[in-house]
Amino acid sequence: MRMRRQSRRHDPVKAMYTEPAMPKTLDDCVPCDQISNTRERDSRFHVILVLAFVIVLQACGGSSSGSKPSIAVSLNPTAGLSLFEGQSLKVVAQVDNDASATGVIWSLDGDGSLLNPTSFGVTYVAPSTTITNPNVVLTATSLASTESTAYIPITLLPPNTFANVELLHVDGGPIPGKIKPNTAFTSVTVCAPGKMACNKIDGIIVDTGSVGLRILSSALPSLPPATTGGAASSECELYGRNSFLWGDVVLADVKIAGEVARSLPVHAVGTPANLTVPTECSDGGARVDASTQSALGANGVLGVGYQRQDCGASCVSAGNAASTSFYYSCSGNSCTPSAVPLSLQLTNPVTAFLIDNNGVVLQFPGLEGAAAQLDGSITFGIDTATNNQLGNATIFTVDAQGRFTTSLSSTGQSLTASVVNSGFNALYFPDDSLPPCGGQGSFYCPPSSTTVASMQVGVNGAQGAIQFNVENANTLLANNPGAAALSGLAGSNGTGGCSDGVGSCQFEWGLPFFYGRTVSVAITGQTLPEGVPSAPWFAYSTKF
Amino acid sequence: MRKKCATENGRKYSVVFSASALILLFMMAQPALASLGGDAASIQADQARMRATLKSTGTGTFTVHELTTPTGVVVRQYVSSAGRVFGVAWHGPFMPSLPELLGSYFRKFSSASKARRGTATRNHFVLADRHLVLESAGHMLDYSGRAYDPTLLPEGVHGYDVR
Repeated sequence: MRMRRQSRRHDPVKAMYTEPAMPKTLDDCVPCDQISNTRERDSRFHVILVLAFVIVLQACGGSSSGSKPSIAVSLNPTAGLSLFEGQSLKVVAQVDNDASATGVIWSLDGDGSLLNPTSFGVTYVAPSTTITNPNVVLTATSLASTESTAYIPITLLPPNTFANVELLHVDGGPIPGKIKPNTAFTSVTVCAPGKMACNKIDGIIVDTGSVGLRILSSALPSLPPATTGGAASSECELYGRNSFLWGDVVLADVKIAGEVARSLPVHAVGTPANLTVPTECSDGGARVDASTQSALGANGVLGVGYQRQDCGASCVSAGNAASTSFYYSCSGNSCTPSAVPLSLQLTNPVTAFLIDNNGVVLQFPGLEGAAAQLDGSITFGIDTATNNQLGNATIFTVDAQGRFTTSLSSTGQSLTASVVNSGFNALYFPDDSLPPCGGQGSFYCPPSSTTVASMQVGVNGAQGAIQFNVENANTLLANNPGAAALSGLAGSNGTGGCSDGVGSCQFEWGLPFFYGRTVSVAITGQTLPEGVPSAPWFAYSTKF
Repeated sequence: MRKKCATENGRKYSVVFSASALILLFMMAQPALASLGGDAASIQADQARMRATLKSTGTGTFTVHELTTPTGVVVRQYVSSAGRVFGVAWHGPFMPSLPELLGSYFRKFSSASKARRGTATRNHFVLADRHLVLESAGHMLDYSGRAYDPTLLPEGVHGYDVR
């Protein structure tokens, strides 16, 4: 257990803050008219109920003639959240299609207490003593139909912590004796939806180059499948090296620091013993299965990239299922490519948070040479709290695939498909003048440390000059056998150059780019502060 | 609009799905993709199978057939004047079927990539030998790569022309 949320242990981060990032006033989350007293609301509720019933009947039209609309419970706040010791939370229930208007009964799993429960509201009070189990579930069950329930997952936070900050460790990863270099690991808590069955899992790679949470199924608690049209859904994620991650899509409550994502579609990586990987995913067994801890070098991947879903509109259309070969519908031992609606695709966990849901900020101290371990942080939200302000950071907008341009002075090339990606363990770019190390890797091995000058140019024209050193990778690795963090590690991702956007056109700014910077990644479609370009974009400042 | 129905109406969705599954089965019976080292005769079948648009350009020495799928995957096939595919390149949000693109060369790629289990990066792969030069890169929604047989390059054509 190396994860601790105590931010005071993390001096570089604390230096930036002037006050703790408390969650916004919880009353903000609940529309004021819904917290008025019960009597008032009851009378108004009947009117709303009748109106709602009429609307439902009209909306259903002929297709559901005669069938009674089912009772549905919903809660406000609508998403999961965190509370500090002693804080309280007002929760309001709404019940649709309940002609008797009997309301709900409240139940609590975990520490704390319920105050003034009524048919449509309750106040949850977090314990004021030291927290033993941070996980709490508040459930409302319809009195008219006990099968209709709604819940809010809550995380209890000790004092002096930041609700939106989790630590990152470049420490080589979870496999003893096997260092995975320049990889940022964090931990997440995964719970069965609405249940207290939670696992805290460390060794999770933080990846701004992908979307969605993927965790080895062996590390997960028992989770329900995300079903589409009655069938279980599975996913195949491919990597350029001819490898794949395969596994079921499941639903989980996901907690990172004090952020909570309720009933999130998650990739349970690793094939159950009774299920074979479909041939479209494994290419008839030709691809490498990376769905194990030893192949992945991690227990999972936390994708916090530019998009809300990992596939998007392409995977919603049934006609594309075969050509995308991304989502699969599984029945028994047989899986075929299939379409999946956006709501059941793997979802960027950040977008499911209540407040800090428009992006992430990654921060690392600077590094010269190598270090056994380098600790940084991931802060959720951009300009949503005092500790994630953009300030004077330069914003680089990118295209829908996250691309911008990097000009490389050594080759004179404009690399128009460049990306910033914390999931890459080095800076990868095409430069035929730098000698490759040979062997199986694709790192560069110049005879001596070589300085490269470059310029990042956003789609919006924003420019930032970056100079970096390329070290001899063989020497660097040999001289620093225990090091997990290595600046100066760079490699080739192609040859032959780039012209008119075709060829080797990628500069992949991996994790070493993040060292010594505060890098923000804004998510497409989420609400951003006024006056900044719409996402996708990244921004960075180096004043830290 | 089909997409809208697929999300909003379960019944229509399953009908569309079954129909496309049938179409898929039918298409799978069509000739395979014009693969590396093969001839260009099946490019029109490829177009139909991939539901792609086809754009062809020529340099005199070789022809480039560019197929673009509805999901934005671009596949380029480089064909010599003798009608032989000497190079293929791809990029887009999804990976095209490499067994089909690489044909008989795929086995070489497959065994080489399996032999490199556990090396530094899962996102790149480079292979260069006498009969196959291959670069594959990519991660979620962003894949690219190219492959050619150096011994099949027409005179005056370089490996970097395949891209």
